[in-house]
Amino acid sequence: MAYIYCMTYYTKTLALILLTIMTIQSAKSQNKNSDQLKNIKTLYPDKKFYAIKEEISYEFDIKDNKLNILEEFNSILVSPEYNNQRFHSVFYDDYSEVKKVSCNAEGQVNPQLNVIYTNYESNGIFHDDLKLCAFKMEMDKDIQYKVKYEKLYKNPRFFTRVFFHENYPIAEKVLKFKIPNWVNVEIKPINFESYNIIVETEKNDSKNKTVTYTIKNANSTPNENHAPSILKYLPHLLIFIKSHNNGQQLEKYFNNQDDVYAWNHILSNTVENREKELLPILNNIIKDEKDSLKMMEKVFYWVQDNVRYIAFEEGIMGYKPAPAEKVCNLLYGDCKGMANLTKTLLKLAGFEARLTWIGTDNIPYDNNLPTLAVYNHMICTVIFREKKYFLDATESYIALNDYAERIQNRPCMIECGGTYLNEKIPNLNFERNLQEEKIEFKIENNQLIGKSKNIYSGEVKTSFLRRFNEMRSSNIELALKNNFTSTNPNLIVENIKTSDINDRANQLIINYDLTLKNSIIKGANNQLYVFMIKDHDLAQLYFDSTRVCDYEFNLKYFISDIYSLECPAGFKLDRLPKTLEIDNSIFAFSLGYEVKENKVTLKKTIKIKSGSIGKKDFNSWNEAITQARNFYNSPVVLTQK
Amino acid sequence: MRLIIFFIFIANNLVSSIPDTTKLPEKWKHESIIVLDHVYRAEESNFDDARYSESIKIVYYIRDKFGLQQLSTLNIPTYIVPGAEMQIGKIYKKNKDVIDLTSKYLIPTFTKIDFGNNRKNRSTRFRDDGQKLAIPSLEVGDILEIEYTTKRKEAIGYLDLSVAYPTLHSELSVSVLGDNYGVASIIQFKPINFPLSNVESTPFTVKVERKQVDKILDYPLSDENRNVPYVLIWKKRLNNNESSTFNSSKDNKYAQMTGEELKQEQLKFITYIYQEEAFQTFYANNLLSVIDKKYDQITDTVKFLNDLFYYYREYLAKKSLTESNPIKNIQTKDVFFVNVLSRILTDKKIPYKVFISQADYYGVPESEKDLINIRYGFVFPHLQYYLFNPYFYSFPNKIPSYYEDQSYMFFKASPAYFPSGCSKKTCTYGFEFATFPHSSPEENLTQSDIIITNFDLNALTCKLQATNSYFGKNKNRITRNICSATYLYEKEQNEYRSALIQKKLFDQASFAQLEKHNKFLKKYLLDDVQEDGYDTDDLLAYNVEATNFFSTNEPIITQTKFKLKNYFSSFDEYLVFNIGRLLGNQLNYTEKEVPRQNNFYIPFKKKYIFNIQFEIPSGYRIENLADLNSKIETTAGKFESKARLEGNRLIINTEKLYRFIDYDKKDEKDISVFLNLATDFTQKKLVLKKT
Repeated sequence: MAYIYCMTYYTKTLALILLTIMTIQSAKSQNKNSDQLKNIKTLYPDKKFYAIKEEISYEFDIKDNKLNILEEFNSILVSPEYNNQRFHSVFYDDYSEVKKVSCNAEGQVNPQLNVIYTNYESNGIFHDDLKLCAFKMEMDKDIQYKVKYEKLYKNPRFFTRVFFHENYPIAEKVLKFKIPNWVNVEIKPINFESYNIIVETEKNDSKNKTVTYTIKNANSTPNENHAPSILKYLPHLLIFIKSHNNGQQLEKYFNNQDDVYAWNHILSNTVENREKELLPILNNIIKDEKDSLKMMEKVFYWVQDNVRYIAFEEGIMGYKPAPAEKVCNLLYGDCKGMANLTKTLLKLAGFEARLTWIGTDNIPYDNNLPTLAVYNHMICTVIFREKKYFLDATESYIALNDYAERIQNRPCMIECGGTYLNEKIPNLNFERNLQEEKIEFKIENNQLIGKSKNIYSGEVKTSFLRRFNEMRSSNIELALKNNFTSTNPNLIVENIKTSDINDRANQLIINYDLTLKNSIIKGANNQLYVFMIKDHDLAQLYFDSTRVCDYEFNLKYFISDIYSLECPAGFKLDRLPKTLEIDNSIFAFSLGYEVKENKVTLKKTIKIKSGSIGKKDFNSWNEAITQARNFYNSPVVLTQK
Repeated sequence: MRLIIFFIFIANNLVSSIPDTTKLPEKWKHESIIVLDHVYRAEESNFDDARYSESIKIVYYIRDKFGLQQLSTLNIPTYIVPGAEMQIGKIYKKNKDVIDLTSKYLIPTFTKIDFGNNRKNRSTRFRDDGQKLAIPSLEVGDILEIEYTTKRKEAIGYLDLSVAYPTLHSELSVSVLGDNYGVASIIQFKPINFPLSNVESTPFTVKVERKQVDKILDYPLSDENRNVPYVLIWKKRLNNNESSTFNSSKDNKYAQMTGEELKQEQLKFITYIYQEEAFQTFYANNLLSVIDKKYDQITDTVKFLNDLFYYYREYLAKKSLTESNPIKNIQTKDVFFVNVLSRILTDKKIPYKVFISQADYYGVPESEKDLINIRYGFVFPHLQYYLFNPYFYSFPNKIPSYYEDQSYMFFKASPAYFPSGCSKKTCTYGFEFATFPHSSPEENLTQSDIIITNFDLNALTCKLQATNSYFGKNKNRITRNICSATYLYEKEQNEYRSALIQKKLFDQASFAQLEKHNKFLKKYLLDDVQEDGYDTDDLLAYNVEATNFFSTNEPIITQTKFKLKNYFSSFDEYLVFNIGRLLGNQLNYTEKEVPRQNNFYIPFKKKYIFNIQFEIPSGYRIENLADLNSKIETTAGKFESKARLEGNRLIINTEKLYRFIDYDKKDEKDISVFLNLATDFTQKKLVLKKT
């Protein structure tokens, strides 16, 4: 009995000591958490959520002779607001699964979590290859919520990238890779230069090592308009899983670009295109055309015009093109399906047409990296008379030999049997996107009236053609008028005439008659103040000190306006605004008036040469646009003779 | 058995021949899709747990590639319950071939998560997007015929007569079946925004057949609910004898009524709201004890009613702050408000009537349990005074916008108030009807006093000082916006509301709380200034004045002072100022491609005044004063601008007046001319020349 009592006493004492230690540790941990939270709130105030600590660990395992990667996500999230809702979401696909999802509020009874697993749709495009696991968190102020889940990558080829940043600030983020020596994996840091990321490697034993990346005080991912892709500036890790040894043999994945090509090529080769079914369609497209280039053009335009781009994919179809005849029957497909249809039709027509893998301008990587993360798009390349034509049929209304901004200057991988060709899409300069307007003004009824002649080229032309062709109205002329005048209440437009709206190979020409209201002011001594500038291009683009990211335009700009005005009878020129000339490697403004006899001519040229303005150039841009605004708003002054 | 017969009937009637596309109206020549035929047949059942059957046939004619793109995938609407029976019918090719689509191209229901992006980012929600079909083999010129049958859980409340595409022929019908228990159901209906003469009916069916139906477009200054045509449908149980003699067009008294009469009729279902609940008595007694301390005797009833309103609201606000009680949702309801205050009014012997109204809903109930959106409040006819359940930014004797011009009813019989102890469904008092008045434009005034000074010709900036005074319903809106924006945290937001109600709480706020308040207030006002189109990065000074927050006549005033950029240019001896832009963004009413189909509607009449004082920079004179005078006045509204010189200041006064709540679409010009004159004024420039 005494022995039992003694044991009980010791057990109680031990329990008490343990409890005390645990309480102290818990209190310490809570204090640490509290300090971290306070610190991150001070650094990044006014956010909707914060993570005190977030850790994602990756472990490699073999199941059924296949290499799996298990991602374990652990985060402590806090809301600074009462009654704050958060939808926590995790993307997955047919080659991964999300399980063991939990969300527990500290010190509260937690109701059962309603986790939704669903397909994903964005911008009206239905993605069956991308799935979403999501759950709703009803968060209260300063309560700590422990969010956990496991994501299993069942195909190592698709485990390509890991990020540090989330859409909430994180006091401490740890990415931990437990790597056994039977896996050959390379982890490549990207964009680490501007961040203090601590990398630690620990050899656990002769068979395993742990590599840990730690970042502190990571801000939420910026949410700014016209921001570059996060791949261009946020730190992340590219994961190259090269091989694993399952004890019996070496399973190879991607050691180099050759392997990436081989895998893609095998997949695309397994597509069985029933070419015979396409012959009648091809004959109908090219009819009696004898000119090879015209033939290619017709096929390219037919796919653009008749196949709608929809990412409607499933499983391996995220990487493997749909058969050409299937896309042709459905009249919709993803980029791979459209590229494969273009290739198949052109091959049938006798061209040397090839599938081509490319990463659009959102992806900053070179294509010699051993990962699928390099590519997000597929086009068709035709080699004809020793020239390469890159055909991207997802770009509606684009001409042959013209390339959308998003693929220009991007490296690509062209299929070439057992091997491949590395190429770059041509980089077209800003002059491709010429938008020119010439107006001859005269003054009538105290207003400027004139005839406007417009030339649209490149991306400006294709976007206008898309807009025009989407106008479905019983009154196209009025719809077109509204298109021109909706942003300028001073403008009245009549008699609009366009060149062939289906001709995408040549410049688009649009002419119309216009009246510019509020353009003439009569002065006290019978002067005329004439405001000739119809469009105050880019006048609203001014960067304040809060902007975090560089600014990327949708396109490179080349605006050239020439407006002339015959001085009305009885008047002569008195004053002109000063000419503005700014020209640097990023942008150029040339704004000025010329006078010849009785005619005043405004010449306005604006160039955005590379299509983006870096943060370092914001000040020079702001200075330039302030001067441009002053010019736009200054009149030509005429006085009575 | 009847159900089977019904389906056979439907199936036989849905058998189609090749549709004719040769007789399409010229006005639709640019349409991408035309619906050649739309047949909708629905059944109402008497069984409480029954699922209601619907059959739908739509025949689409695809005119161009945009039509093709729209139909290459087809969303099946969300209201269809999972497991709906779906059959894709046929594609009639332009070469006369007919493809029978026997396969089902059904993709399972998916859920969309809509990540909203509003100011507080709280609109995130899960949304069921229904079913999505991929339809292969379509070409331009094809006719796609789809048919499906579904079951739904809810009774069919109405037939929506609007169409997504121009429709050549449309036939919509609802039938009601009797049951085997000696009770028959008679269908009753009421067309809204649609002529009664176009509805065919029998005791058991309602059918609307139309030809050449145009789609309804969205227009500015309108309310869809007031324009979309629909037919209300409900069933009424009769015994078999009654049903055999029921004549739908004669005996359906509701069908002939105007919308207003219908609304009044349905309000008659309400005979009871009084509930003796302990917590109501508790609240009433507590409130009464507070009031009794202030009032020994009531000499001015209106003042007492105003105070009663404030006390109730203050009490409510305090309660919601301090108590986490299970009835906090109930206590804000109209029923609670009426029950608590009626006890106090009765105690104080102030005669009152309880009004019953229904905002913008025409649904016909079978019983009071079906009524929705019923609102209660007090009318004091001898004082021409109204008391509405207060929300945080409302005022006594001020009618919320959703009541304006709405009808209400009250019990005619004595006693004037709801009789205590009247048990449910036993009160048989008569009713009187009346209409809530509407506020004048002047009562909903927004006045902006703007002073422009301190021109810096090198930096091209000047100083702008704006004092905006918001009255009436605009005061409600701005107060609500400020309160929502100044604190991100709900608890502090409530405290701030209380602070506005009771200033001492605000005075007791900690330094940190005040600092936070000021920070968010500044951000709100800066956002507001920038949304008005003013180009500035920062506020030099700011303030909000609501000295008498509850006063019906005193405004809430916001004051801001900032450096204005990008408003003027300077060259040689000239200075050009974009004076019109000081009015901010004005609605530009442009002509649409399709003539307006909807009547005009805005919730309340309103008035905007700008008083601009422009300090003329030293050494300059104005060249074009006369340009700034303009005026257009119609029965719908008015815009006027007047400019004059007073010493070295230019004074501009503008007035924009919305005189209408409802306005006929045929008189569109009455509205567009004054709106567009205001827009034109925003383009006005002021030219100044060195003297």
